[in-house]
Amino acid sequence: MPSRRSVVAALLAGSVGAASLTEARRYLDGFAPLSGEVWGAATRNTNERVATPYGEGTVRYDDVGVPTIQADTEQGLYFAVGYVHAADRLFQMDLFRRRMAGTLAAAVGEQGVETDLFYTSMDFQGAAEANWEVVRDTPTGDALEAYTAGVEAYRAREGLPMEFGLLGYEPEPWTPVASMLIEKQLAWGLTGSFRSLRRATVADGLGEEVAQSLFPSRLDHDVPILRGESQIPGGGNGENGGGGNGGGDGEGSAGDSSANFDGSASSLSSWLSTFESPRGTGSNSWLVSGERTESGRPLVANDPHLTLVAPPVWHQMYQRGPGVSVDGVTFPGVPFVVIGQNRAGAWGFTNTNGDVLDVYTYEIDGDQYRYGEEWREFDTTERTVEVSGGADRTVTVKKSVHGPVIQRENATVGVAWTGLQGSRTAIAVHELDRSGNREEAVAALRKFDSPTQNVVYADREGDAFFGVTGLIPVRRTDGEVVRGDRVFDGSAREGEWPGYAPYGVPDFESGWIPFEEKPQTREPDYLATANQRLVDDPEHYIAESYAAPFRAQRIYDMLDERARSDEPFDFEYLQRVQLDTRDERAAVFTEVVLASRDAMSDRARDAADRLAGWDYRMDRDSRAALVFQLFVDHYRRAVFEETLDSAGLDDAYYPNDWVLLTLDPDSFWFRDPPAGETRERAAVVAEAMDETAAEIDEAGYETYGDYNRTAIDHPFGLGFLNYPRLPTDGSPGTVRNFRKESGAGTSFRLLARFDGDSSLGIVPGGNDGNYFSDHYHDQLDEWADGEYRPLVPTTEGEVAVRFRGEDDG
Amino acid sequence: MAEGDGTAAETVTEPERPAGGPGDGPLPRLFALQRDARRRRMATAGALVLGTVLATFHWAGLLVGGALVGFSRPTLRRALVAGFGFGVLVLLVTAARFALAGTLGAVLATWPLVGVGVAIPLVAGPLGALARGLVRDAL
Repeated sequence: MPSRRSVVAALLAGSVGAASLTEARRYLDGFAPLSGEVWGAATRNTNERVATPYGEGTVRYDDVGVPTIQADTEQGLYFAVGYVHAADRLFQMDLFRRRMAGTLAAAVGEQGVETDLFYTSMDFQGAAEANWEVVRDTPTGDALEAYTAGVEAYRAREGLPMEFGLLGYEPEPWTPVASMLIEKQLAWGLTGSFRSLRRATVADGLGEEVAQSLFPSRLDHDVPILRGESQIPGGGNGENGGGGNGGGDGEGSAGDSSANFDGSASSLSSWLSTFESPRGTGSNSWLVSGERTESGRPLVANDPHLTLVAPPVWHQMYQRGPGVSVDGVTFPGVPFVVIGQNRAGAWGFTNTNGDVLDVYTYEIDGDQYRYGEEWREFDTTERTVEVSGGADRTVTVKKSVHGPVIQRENATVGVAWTGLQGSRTAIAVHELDRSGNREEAVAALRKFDSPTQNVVYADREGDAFFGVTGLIPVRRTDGEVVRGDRVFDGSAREGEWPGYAPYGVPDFESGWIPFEEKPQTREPDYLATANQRLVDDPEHYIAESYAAPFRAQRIYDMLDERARSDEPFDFEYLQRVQLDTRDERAAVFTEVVLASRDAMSDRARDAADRLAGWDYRMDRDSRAALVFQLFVDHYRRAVFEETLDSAGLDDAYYPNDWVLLTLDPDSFWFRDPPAGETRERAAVVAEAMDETAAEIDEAGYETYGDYNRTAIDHPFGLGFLNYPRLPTDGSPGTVRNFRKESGAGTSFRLLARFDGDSSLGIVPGGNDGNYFSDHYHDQLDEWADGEYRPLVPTTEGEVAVRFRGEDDG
Repeated sequence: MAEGDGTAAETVTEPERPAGGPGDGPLPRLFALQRDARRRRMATAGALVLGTVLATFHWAGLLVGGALVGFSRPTLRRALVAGFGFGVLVLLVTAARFALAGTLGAVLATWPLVGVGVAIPLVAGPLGALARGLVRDAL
């Protein structure tokens, strides 16, 4: 029988060995009380004094953790911004960088592999390096160097956020190229669309008629951003430069191609769709000139609708330095204020939906592809995707003359995207922050090469501007200008982009639609952008499609109503518009629902009757709003699901709600659907309403607020890191935008004024990404309740961080 | 903590008292310390403090602290109890640190992570104290 000593020795040796040499060590390193890396963030205070080579500066925080950063030099300012970004968002910055660089799996393991395979294949890292080539030797490059030094000052000397402890890795040093990757992520999220490939896939599997129905090139409405005389009550919307003098909808005609697509890309198309932005990502902005306002000064509003995550995509701050006094929101990883105001003016952005990505097929022979009359070798390199806790993968990064070549099963396509080139966007935003009047702001916006954005600008002098940023290619096939809403035959040299230089520096001045020839105006009376069509008759082909016009319709209705009245616009009215919850989808379709009552079951009829007399407001205490929102989802499936299923296509191929809700009773979707039996529209409505009633019963919902709750989650999926669930108002179709199903919505609300009172803003959550911070989600309740906070810098009181010269100790 | 449970046992007769007395070598001196209530209390207190300090640098400090506390006790059984007590002390100190930082509530909400954090010292303390079993009991 073994002695006690030997048993104890064996037990000790085994336990200590297991603790030191197995996965258990990770848990011990992370979670042991007193020493665990995860808990460090719960007791840590950052240093109050930080050495900087760029001159003195200070950081003060307001009561919701929004910093005011003041510095004696411009580089000192951006050093401090880098330090503050790292203190509040270092993990988020590293996650963004990893995603775009294709190194996510090295941190998160197998679940990051698919993402890495795509992002590595696209070589966004190479594109970011090209960006840095453009920016490096400019004042913006100096600013980014200082910013990088600030991030590094924090990363190297302060404790790390708990997420690094949870994943068991430490972030690599920050670099200016990492900041450029963040810029690429923003651009990709807003313009990386494979719609033409999806359309071609549908045309191949279900026919051209179905493709045209699901992916119409034009939506029949009369609320473009720049309206014609007949669309404005009382006329007079200022001059509409760039619009109204072209023939048709830009060059060429819609939907006249896809024949060159071999149809084997269903799997590829679906896979690529998972790397696009969530369905319905969009934004609102509007401005009112001083001639229309109570104060005589213009008003500007903007609320970008992006993915709602914890922490938010935006980091709010006030920057004060030589030549800089700017308030608004930045992207963690880039030091400049993207949306906000400075001493001169205020500005906001919405997505243009510009078509700046094309897909090409090739005639391929081994490692070669035909390009015109010659055969060329693919530019091929092997990259390793490192996988934490799993087997590493090898990716063959293949490029053609158009850019990256993506392969999935038997399908291979080349991808051209304007964002694969070096861009001057960082320079543009840097100069916009420092602009002193409209002309300086417009000069900066000319350099905003990617992404394509609708920009509204107004200043205290009363000058205003609406225009479109971003390089938009003028495509040519055999010398003829063509539209981009198709898959091109790359071997036949279709859809060429003159001036395009993937992973290089393009010629910014030729090959693209000239800045002045994109729709713009300098004398807007008032105008609204909600991702809708820019103008009815553009001179150039700009976008393959635009957003459904529900939000645009409602904003213009409200602005027109005020303009028609004797009352001038005031700040409170601007706020009413931004928080408006009337759903124009309901205005379009409620009558159809009520007219279908006879075809309904009893429970469906009971549910539908809630819509009678409803004011179409998507408010949390409304039962009708609950019925309508769930009904739209069921109706969409009832109309399209069987057909899409028959072709092996998923819900990425659903059309927008304008297409769905304006389907005529005689549409082939009812009379002769590609799959399934002929049905009356009323029968489909009745079926969808029955399923709606069943879902409401099953879930136990009473009002819209029971369903319409925030679900703003941290990427980890750990419950405690997610934000609390709160009922809120709004829907995908309302100005006050909240998209429960896709997890997107208003990511920042800005209302800017120049009459001496404070502008307003709020982010969905909190400014500090550290879970243990008081400011992790301390703005969430107010955001969910439609409230705002004044944009007032904190220039007095306690200094949280003081930056001193390195020799000052 | 462990001192209390040892009080009753100290009155028990010592049928297998190990040989040797003070000055006979490190082991006899250790046994003498373990048998002397006052010195044992001092040694235990020192071990608790030292173990807690070590645990702030590395989790191995939990094992070392458990072992130190264990070796201040005269028997393996009492060592294990003392090791557990050391684990509880570490948790109390940790909770106090979080409370002072104003983050105790947030930490307690991190389930299941906080469960792992609680389990570690409650296992590591007795595990370290198990080292007491490498030598004979002093009683």
